[in-house]
Amino acid sequence: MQVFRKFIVLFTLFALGITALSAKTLTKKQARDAAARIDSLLTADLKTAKLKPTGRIDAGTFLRRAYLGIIGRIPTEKEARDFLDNPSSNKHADLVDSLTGSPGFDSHLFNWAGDLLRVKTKQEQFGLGWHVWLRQSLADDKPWDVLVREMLASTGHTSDNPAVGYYLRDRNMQLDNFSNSMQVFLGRQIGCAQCHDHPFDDWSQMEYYQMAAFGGGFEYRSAEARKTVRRVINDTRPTPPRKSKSKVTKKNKKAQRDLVTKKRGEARKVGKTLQPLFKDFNKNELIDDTAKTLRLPEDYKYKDGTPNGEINPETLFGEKLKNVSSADRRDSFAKWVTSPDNPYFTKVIANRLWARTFGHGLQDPVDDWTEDSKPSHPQVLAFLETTMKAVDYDLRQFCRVLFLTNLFQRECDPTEPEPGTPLLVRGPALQRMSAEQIYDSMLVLTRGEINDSQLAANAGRWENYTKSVEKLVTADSRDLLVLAESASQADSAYREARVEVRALQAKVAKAKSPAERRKIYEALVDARKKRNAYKKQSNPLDAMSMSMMAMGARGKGKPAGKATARASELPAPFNPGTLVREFGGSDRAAPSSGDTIPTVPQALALLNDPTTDIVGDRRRSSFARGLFSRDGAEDRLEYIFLRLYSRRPTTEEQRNFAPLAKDETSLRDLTRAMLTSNRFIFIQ
Amino acid sequence: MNPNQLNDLSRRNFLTRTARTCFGLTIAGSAAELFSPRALAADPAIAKAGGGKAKHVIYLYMSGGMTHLDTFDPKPDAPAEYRGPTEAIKTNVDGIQLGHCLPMLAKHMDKVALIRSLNTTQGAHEQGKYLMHTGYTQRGSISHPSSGSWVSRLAGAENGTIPPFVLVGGGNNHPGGGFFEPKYSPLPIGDPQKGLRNVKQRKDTDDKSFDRQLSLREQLDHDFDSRFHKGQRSVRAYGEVYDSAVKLMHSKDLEAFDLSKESADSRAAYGSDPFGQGVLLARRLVERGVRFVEVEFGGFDWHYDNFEQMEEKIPILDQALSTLLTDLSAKGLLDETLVVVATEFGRSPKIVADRSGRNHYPKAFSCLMAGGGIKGGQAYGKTDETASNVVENKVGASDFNASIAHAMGIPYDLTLMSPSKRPFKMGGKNGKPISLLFG
Repeated sequence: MQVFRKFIVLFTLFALGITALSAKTLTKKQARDAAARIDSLLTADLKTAKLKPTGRIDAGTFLRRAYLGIIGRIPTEKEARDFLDNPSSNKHADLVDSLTGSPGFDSHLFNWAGDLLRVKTKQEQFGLGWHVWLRQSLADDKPWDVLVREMLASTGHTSDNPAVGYYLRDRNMQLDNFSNSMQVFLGRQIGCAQCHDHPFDDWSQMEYYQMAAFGGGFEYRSAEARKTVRRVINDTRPTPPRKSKSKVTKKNKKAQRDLVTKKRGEARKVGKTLQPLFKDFNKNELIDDTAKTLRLPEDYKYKDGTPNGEINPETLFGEKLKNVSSADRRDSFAKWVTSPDNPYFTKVIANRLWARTFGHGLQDPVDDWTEDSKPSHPQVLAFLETTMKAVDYDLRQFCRVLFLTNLFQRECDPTEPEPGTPLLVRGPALQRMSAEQIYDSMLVLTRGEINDSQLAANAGRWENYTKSVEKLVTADSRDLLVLAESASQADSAYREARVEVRALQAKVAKAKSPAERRKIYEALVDARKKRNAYKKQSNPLDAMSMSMMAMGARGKGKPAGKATARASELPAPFNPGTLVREFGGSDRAAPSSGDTIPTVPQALALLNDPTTDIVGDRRRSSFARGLFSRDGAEDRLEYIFLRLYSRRPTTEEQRNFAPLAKDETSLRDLTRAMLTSNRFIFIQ
Repeated sequence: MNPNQLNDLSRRNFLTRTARTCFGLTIAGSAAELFSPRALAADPAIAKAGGGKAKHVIYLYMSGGMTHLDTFDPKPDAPAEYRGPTEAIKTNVDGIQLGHCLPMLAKHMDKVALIRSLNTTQGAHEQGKYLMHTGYTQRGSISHPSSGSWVSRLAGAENGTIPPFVLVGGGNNHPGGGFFEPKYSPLPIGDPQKGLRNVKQRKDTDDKSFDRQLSLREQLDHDFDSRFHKGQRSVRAYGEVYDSAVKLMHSKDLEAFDLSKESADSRAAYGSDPFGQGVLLARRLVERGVRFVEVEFGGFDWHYDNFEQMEEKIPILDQALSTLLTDLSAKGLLDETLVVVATEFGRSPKIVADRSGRNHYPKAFSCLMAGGGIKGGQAYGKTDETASNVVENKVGASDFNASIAHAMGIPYDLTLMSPSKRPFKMGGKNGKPISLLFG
């Protein structure tokens, strides 16, 4: 009991200490003190349960765990040597500090956040904008509460506010989006109540709709486009007729009516002409119509409401919000979710990051909290919550504290945690590398040195798009009409080309001889090219972006080749059948979909896929070049172990494997065997 | 015969035998192989009720929630705000109509049993998909096996070289093998056109080198495995996965995965879309003895432009499914192959006017079964005049899966224990086979 009280005191002191400082970046001491507090709380819990923590891992295991866990890839040969040969007794903590402060941290965290939020880079135009925005926000240490608030409160066109991707992602699926928000940010699963009263929890369908009503004014269309079209109509209208001062007769009354009809007709015509210019706008913009309110479903069957009845927004737990004006409802909701006083927001993100670091949540599953949830180490969780608030929701600083714990230096628990069961944490859970960690580690092996920084290519493409939008909505009205005309011509050409492609496709299947098939196929390839070119021209935004690219306005930095880009720089989700997807990379359909389930194609990929062969071709692999430029068996063996396992071979391994380091074939076999070993794909 | 009677009979019969062979204990592990479909088809109760004829399942999953009103349960007399522009067309069975995007299937109606009375309470994709696949509601504390893994486990492989459960084009959230040991998990094929890749040794690798790699792998992992093998499923799984991979590399049936072995006409008949090609792959695999092939077809979530998207998408299903039925009958495989079309829920009958879309609707929706002992030419179950409520013969996800079990001659109510010692059945908690589906 006394021990317990001591903890509370220390815990409070600490919390006050850093809150008072209100500095976002923790000093070395603050970060280490916080980590130590977590460890002592854990130890106390284990002691009560008469359990012992696992042993401490060696330097090589730590090195590998730190690189993969913090920046999402294995270390290079140099990075491995630097750490292993460093005699300092502070080197573990120093490495954590330097890795959490490095751009690799951003890349790795982005993969996690992108999967949680279901970012699809190629969705319309907003996908790229949202991707770039999220990547940059994390790199800039935008606090989690601010980041979430910006998304939840977002409206407008993606080129003005890319955070609106969060809603456009689920265009016309506002209720599903809402259920996801509750699950992702507040760990509450209330999706069932969308259709009926929740059978286990105390959610009623009415309560669900009251919460969802904060987004009651959503309309997925473009105000920007309407505004521009209206401007063009006004600008291009023939000089307005003078107002007749003569007295109103029947005759000129009719003339006036005719004039109005004529004007309307002309306006409609201009609007139609301009249509091709703005066809993508409706898919990239969200409006909050304050006159609109959410309605109950038509088949609403409970007594507390009428079918199709209007619903006013109301919160169900935490601070009670009621009678919110429709102008304020979005902002109030965003603030309510992300408030430090929200009973779930802070602990949900703290627990999610804990699970990401140590393989199992203190509360598991991480997205199914109830009022009676009993996390495994309540005091640790409470402390994490305090820490999250104290670092002002800076995820980098929060993760840094977790990585600085002794727990992060302990051996993995030999037994896997039971899902959904509270677990006393003796050591981290054994985790298989994520698909992205495998992808990025293969890059390290084939390229040697890799650039962890964000590449300019995506940001550059996004900048071009936003500039094109800007140009379009500010262009001279007459120019717009000309542009629209040419776009519409390209559009009809595109439609014709599409018909041709389809006809040729049908012909290919019916070809009588291989020669004939080949001839038709060639025509098909040409037709496809033509079709694609027209398609680009028919979209003025694409056409403008292309010309800007040609003019060299690429944004800062050099464009990077696909081959060198880390997984976080490539469009998500990866296509089915790619290495990333074979290893469970997320399809971005549901929150946190990425998995690490073992499958046969994974084994086949590591055994036989040319792209995972790091040792077959010197031209394609830095690993192979380095290996075969070394002579002695001992040197070679050390090199292989350092690059694949991030440690030197033990004496026994030296003895066992040195004979294999003599000829190239044996070296190849050994390397390939290591790549398929559990020691490689699991993070100990 | 009333369904309950059938169930009692088959259960009693089954229990007697279980008691004999397993001393009254729940069967586990290799004992499951005792229940091969052939042996079970001999069970007079199951056979008498038309079950046990199927040896394979081709399970086509429409991911996203397929609209029932515009496909299997059209309502030509419903008000326009429900019906939309969808028209009902005649089929080759009097009195059964389909949506107008399914003209080819209409000519196969005599082989098909529509099930128009599905009803669940799961209106979100992930949860709905989970329920339909496993027969259980999703929980944080247990991961249930999907129907393919149940079949894989209880029916076993027909021949030993290809895993008994293959999943084509599946997304991340497929329940897979759940708590079963990893060997019952599906073999995933991401892109049917590419088939099973990386099955050939590298050019510079001879058999000697390859074998050495495998034994070095074990040597390198010796310490790691001795620490983690016992307590970690995924570590054990990688052992099994490498064994299966090597076995597959030497399989004589590998060419089943190679669609280029099909004639151009045959490939074109299934449609050039990846789904069509996936269905063709399924047929090839079933011919080689694979028990359960699931092909996922994504993109049915039409909250807006329901009727435009329908015109693009349903014809792809129509073509692939009809070609499959034609093909299987021509090859004499339809009687032993159960063809299933499933989805997680239907769509709201009343059209959302401002975006001509339909929302999620688990209260009433449709699926289909054909072949494998199913009595064709029928529509089981009924919804009201707007397809909003089931008015006859409600079917739950667990009844649906129990029916698949029954067709395969697998006891739907056989209890297997999870590692956490909880009992589970292929037919879910309370599922019963739909006896009227069987001829």
